[in-house]
Order: sequence, then C-alpha cells, then structure tokens
Amino acid sequence: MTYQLSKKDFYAEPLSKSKAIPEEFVKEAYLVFACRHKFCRDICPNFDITRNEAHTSYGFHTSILAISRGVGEFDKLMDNFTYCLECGACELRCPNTSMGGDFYRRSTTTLDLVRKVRRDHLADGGEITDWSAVKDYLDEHRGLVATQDELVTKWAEGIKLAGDMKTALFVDFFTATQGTEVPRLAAQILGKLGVKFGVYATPGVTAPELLSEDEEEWKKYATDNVKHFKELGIQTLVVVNPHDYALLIREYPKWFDMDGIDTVFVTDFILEKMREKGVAPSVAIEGRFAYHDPCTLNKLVVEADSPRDLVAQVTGAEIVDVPPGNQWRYCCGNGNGPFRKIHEDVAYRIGQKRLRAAADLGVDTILVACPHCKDQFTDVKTKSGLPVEPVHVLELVAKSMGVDWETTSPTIG
Amino acid sequence: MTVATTTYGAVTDEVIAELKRIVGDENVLTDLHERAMRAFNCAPAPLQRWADQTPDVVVLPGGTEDVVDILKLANERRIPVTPRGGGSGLADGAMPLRKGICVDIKRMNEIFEIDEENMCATVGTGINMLKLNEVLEPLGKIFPDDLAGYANAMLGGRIGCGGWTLVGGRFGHIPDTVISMECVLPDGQVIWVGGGGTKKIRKSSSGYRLKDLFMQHQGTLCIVTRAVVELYPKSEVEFAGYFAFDNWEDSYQALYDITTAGFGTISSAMIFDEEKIDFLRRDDEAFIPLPKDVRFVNLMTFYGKKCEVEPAVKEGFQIMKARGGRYLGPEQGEGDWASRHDRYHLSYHGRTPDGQATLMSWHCEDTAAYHTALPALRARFHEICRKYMDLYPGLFDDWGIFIYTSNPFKGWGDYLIEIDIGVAELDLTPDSWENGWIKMKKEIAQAAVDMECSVSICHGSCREGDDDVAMHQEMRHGTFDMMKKIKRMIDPNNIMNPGKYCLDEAYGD
Repeated sequence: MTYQLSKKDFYAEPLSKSKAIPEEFVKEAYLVFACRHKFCRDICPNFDITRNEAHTSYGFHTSILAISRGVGEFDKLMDNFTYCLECGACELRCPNTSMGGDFYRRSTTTLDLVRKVRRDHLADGGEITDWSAVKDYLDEHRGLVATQDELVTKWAEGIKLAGDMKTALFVDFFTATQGTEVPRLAAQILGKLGVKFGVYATPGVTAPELLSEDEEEWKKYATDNVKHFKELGIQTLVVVNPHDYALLIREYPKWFDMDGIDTVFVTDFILEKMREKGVAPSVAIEGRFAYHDPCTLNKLVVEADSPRDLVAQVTGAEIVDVPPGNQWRYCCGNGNGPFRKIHEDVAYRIGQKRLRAAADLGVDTILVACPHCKDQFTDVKTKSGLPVEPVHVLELVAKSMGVDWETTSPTIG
Repeated sequence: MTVATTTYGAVTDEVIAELKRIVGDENVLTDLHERAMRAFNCAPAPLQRWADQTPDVVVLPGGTEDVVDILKLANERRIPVTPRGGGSGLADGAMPLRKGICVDIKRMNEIFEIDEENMCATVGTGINMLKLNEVLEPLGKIFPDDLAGYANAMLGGRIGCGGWTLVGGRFGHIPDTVISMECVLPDGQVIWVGGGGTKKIRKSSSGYRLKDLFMQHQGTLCIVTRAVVELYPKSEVEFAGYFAFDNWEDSYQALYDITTAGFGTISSAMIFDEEKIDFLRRDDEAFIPLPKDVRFVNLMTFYGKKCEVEPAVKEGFQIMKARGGRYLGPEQGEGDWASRHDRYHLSYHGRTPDGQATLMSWHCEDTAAYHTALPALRARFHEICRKYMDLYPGLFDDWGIFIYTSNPFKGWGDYLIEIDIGVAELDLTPDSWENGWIKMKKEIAQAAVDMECSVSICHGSCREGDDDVAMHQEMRHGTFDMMKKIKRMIDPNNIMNPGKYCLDEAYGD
C-alpha cells in the first residue's frame, strides 16, 4: 500500500539565513498558525513532558511565519526544531489534515518541514547542538554499506533461507545489527509457516535520521533499492522495522514508481499467511499484556490492527491497553529520527511516562512491534526500575508456535 | 492619563537570573522564537505588531510558590506580567501588549484530588479539559466544559475569560462549574475565593462572593493557580438532533418553543442561519450535504439519564415538527455534533465569491443577546459585515451566524449570537487592520450595546475594537468606574496584563 500525503514541490527550494522565507512557505506556516487551536500541541508526546509549545508543530510553523515578518532568524531555529519526535501525531490531529484531507494538497507535513529545516541549516553551514551523536550513528551505518550483504549471514546464522526473492524480507541496518531478534523471529515464523522467501541484503542507509542531514544521499540509497527490487523480481516486500515500513510507503512513492511491489509490514504478512494456511499458534500463553503502538505504524501510516490481531491468535494472551486512537499521545521516547540521540533526558521521561501507564494497567509486560521501541523501553526499564518488561510481539507468537529463537540466536560482533 | 510604558522596569540579566533561581534554568525561555510564539493567541492578529508584543522573557512556573515569587519580583521591579494558558482565547487576553514577563502556566497541570463523594476535583490551572476528562472517564465522571477549544484550552484561561460551554444549558458555564480557586495577587499574596470562604462549598452566604470578582479578569488582577471544579456523572445518553427549516420565522420560533418547554435535560439549542448554511455548502470537503430547500437548521441536544432523555427527545421532535422542522437524520446529528470542536480551524474554509478556495482565518464575534433582540441583531451583523466586504474586497467574508442557548442550567432568555467572519489575515495592512477590521468589530460591538445586549458572552471584551465600547458604553452605569478602583487597589503598579480592558485609565490623575 501507499499512504498518500502532500508532496510539496516548493520544499525543493532551500531555506537559508540569507534569504527571505519564500511565499509558499509563508502560506504553509500560516496554515498551522492560523488554526491556533493547537490540537497539534496537546497531542504531542514531547509537549506532554516539557510543556513548551515551541517544541510542537504549532511552534515550528509559527517560528517560520515570525521570521517572514521580521521576528527571528532562520539559523536560530535549531534549538527548538530538534525537539520533534517525528512521530506524526500532530499531522493526524491537525484540522488541515483531518478535516481537509489532501484536498488542497495542504495536509500538514510537520515531519517534512523539520527534516528540511535541519538539513537546510546544515547545508547553510550551520551547526546543531549534539548533532555529533546523530552523525556518528549515520557514519556507522555508512560504514556498513561496503559489506552489507554479510550482515545476513550474521543475524540469520543457523536459519535456512529459501532464497526465493519474489517474497523478500527487508532488514535495515539497525535491525540487522542491534535488533537481530526481530528478523530472526520473523524468518523462523515464516519458515514454520512454510513460506518461501529471501532476504533483501542491500538496503543501504535507510535511517530516517539521514533525511534530516542529506536528502540526496537518502534518495541515492532509495533509488538503488527500487532498482534492485525490480531487478530481483521482488513482488512482496516484508518489512520488519516499522520505521522503514513508514519510509517505504510514505516517502518512496513521492519519488519512485513502486508499482508491482506490495510492501507489507511483517505482522500483517504473518497474519495473512496464518489465515491463508489455516495455521494458528498452538501453545497457550496465559497473560494480560500492555501493547504499545509504534508511532510509525499507528500515526505515520495509520495501521494498527495486525500486531493486535496477531496477539489475538495466541490462546490465552489478552491485550488490555487503550485503543490505537488513544495512543496517538504516546511515544516510547525514541522518536523516528535524531530525537533520542540529542535529547536523551526528555526521551527517557517520555518513555518513563509510557511505561508507567502500562504499569498502571497492572501488567508486567508491554508488547511492542518495533525494535526501536524495544531498545528504548529496555533502557527506560533499567533506569527507572519500573516493573514492566518490553517484549516484541513476534517473540510471543514464536513461543506460541514452538519456535525457540534464543537457542539459535547468533552472536553479533 | 495612562501609564507610559517607559515607567515599567526592564527585564535585565539580573531579573533573568532571579527568574532562573525561582523556576529553574530550563523553565526560563529567552530564545526569541520561544518568546515570539507567545505574542498572539487564537484570533486574527496584528501581525505587523509582532515584535512590539513579543514578551521579553517566558517563564513556566511549576506551582503556586513559583508564581508567588515571580509576581513579587515583577511587582518590586514594575515589570508587566501577562499570564498565558492554552493561548486559545479569542479576546487577546494572553497578548503581552507591554512585553515584560509571560507567565506560561502549562506546567501547572496537576490533578491534586478527585473527591468522588463530594463530586469535585482540585486541579492546577494549566490542565486541559480533555486531559482531565480522560482521567475522570473511568470513574464515570465528567467536567462538563465543552468548548471549541476543548482539546487545547486550559482551565486558567477559561477562568480568565469566564468561559462559556456548548452544553451550559444543562451543566452551567465556567463561572458555575468552578467552585473555588486560588489566586496569587500582584504582591504575592495568596487567597482562595469561592462561594464563601471555603474550597468545596458551592453556595454560601458568608461575606462577599469574591469568586465572581476574580472570574473573567483576563489576567488583570491575579494569576489563578489552582481550582476546585464541579464533577457531573457522565451522561448515559447524549442526543443531538438537527432539523431543517425553510424560513427564519419558523426556525426562530422553534428555538423559542424548545427552550421554553421546560425540559430539564436540554443542553443546548442552536440555529445555523441561512448565510451559515450557504457558507457550509461552499465548504465541500467537510460538510454533510443538505437538500437545496434547507435554508435554516436548528439543533437540539439533550444529555442525561436515558429515562429522562428519551421522552424529552420524543417531545422535542413534536415541537420541531409543529413549526415545520424536518429531522435531518442520525448521520447529520452524530457527524456534525462530533466535529463541533474541529471543523472551523481549517484555513481553506475560505472561499472567494466565485467559490474558489482561499486562505482565510476564522473569527467569531460573541454577542450576548436576549431572545427578542436576535432578529434585529442578526440582520444588523450581516449588514455590517457586507459593508466591510464591499469596502475591502477579498479581505473579509461573511461566514454566517450561529445562535446558541446561553443561560446556565436553562434554555431560555440569553443567547450567544455569533457572526463568523473570514479574514484574509496575511493580506491585512495597517490601514485595513485599523480602518477595516477594527472598525467592523467596533460597529458590531456598538450594535450589541445599542440593543442593551453585551459585547461578549464568552471570549471577553478586552480585544481591540471591543474594549472601548464595552468599558465606556456597556459598563457605563458605574461598573467600569468600580473596575478601575478595584484594579488600582489590587494592582497599584499596573503590572498585571496592562493595556487590557482600558484599565490603564485607572491610573489617571
């Protein structure tokens, strides 16, 4: 599927401290300023902690408008613009999106705006406080490109892959190196279901952080990916990281022809195959679980059902959390970009609030469907001592299917 | 004679350092962008004056003690203070006309107590109504403050403007649903004001009823830091029914009939007038289409127990039908009522006369009127709006009129008559602002006062164009003189939100 959102051609024009704000950007900023009811503010998980509306969609757009009226300077925006989690809640809640849809090609695109302002600022010779952590992360991923196809042999050690590329598992660098349980579990579950599939081994640097630094570089990797998808005859792309899933169905269609390639999130695909083959997990796992919707699924592409439906396949497992619409205000604190790398303390407080909400439900486990959420919650649990363990949905399903991933987990250097 | 701005103290580095000592470094905002976005609130704004009303510093206090220390400091140094809640007000209450310190109350959003037995909650005034109700819902309770800014306004701002709610006919408005509150005066003194002298008693005959003095003060007297608010059992049934009429007389009479029928569960009744329906028809993406013969639409809502609401709805249908009203069905009822908080914040609601979408900001006037004044006011408001549309083509647009019930706990008597005006705000010049927008507002305010009505029912009448008419004409029977005396007594240095309500006049010779 694709998720239709405004592609605003005027975003191609660079913003700069030495130029006036272009007219189309003034209108763009005004559209959010003029609403002034700030639904974007009160749904923002970051605002929920800092209570500073400068860190919200309203704040970002108002700052741009203020510059156009001679108040403020472009190169002074960064202290606030790094506070965006890129979770997408503000875009959904904005009347320009929720009431106008994309009728006027003026849906609110806060993510595009903050990413553009950051990279234009960097291109302008500007600096961003603590950006070095983001740069290090991207450099680490850039360093993996030369030998990226070898990553599969590490995370998939001991797993037999069928090698049929009509259906391919898309595994990004973060998941291939830090969240290896996810592709391993996915591969083993699919194997157990008798699905023939291969692994797409050359994703390049797909991290959304790159969109805040160098869009052309991000597009270069994406161009290669689309070319390879077609050369390899991939018909179904099964994506294990929802951050990549959101990029593939929100960003790729803006630039590339993705016709003929069905991009599916891993929980959707597993569920579909279970239904198709009439197979259900057989081992009962009794328990009440919180479930945290990944922002990238629930907000950025408004898909929230399949992880829940997959858990419902497990006999005895019950999700007791609030529904997806009520989770727009949540984030694990990692965000969908550089946020956690720059604002570690606020990220921790956001995650702590979310884990506490889970603890208040009287559960000891919070299920997640995103390796970044799992990583962040693991960190928050350790620091806070909150008695809630993050567990990936696929782990629960794998256990219920008799797949013991831990015993075959490889050691990644 | 007014207090010159030069008599105010400056926000120096020393002041900033002291503010940081009070609230912590991270809660003192000096960055220009963080200050600039607190220059305006929710209504069309004089963008040309942006720099002139950007506060010198923003502070986010964490509680009453912080506010006490901030106000003591500001008072000692005669620095203007503008309290800011959600920034969603429509009367410019949160606009720092004299710059100075913006006290942003958003961190004071704690729920201190939910007293289920006595049906009240004690909260910080930085709390938002939706957030409070999310906590109350599992308890089967609700704080019934249902306003356009339900998802983003904050209780402190609601108190500051004496807020009005869509369902006030059943539950009362903010002056009714706030039981008592904690006020920090400019000299740092903290007082609780309520019905009497205690926090949870609604009706008392002890002493002066000071709660009303500190209601709708628009930040000119104090900063309200905590409040005890009324809780209601969550309604078992919420019914919204829309009825079509083909003429004004029947629509207007049906409004009268439904509001005076004696229903205890009626929460609101409304008219969408002909110009409003025409405007909504232009707005093709968000409106449920109505047949062409529909010229006016009446709404009635009932909230309460099923055993009360169901028979009331049945009788309400009969009343509407007796006046020629045609029920528009559940889709209209549920859909339109559900979008009541959202639908008017889309700037592309604007339309040129030939139907093209254009970027306009929404503004509504909020006249308080009695029933028999409604027909004349409706005609006059459209007439004024059309005059300025002709004078300034493309800058203003008549987006029609709503009429809502307004009397707390009952449907009859008072109404909010609201003309909505589209404003091409980005295109306004100093001339069209002064001679177009402000003059139009002034004429609308004057029309209300000429009919012995009130300039404002919910936003507050401290906005440019309104304040002069409201203070000098509506309040002419001694009220404004008394306001000035009170202001001078409580705030002798005129630090609290100076420039509002014409109260600079309190400091004359």
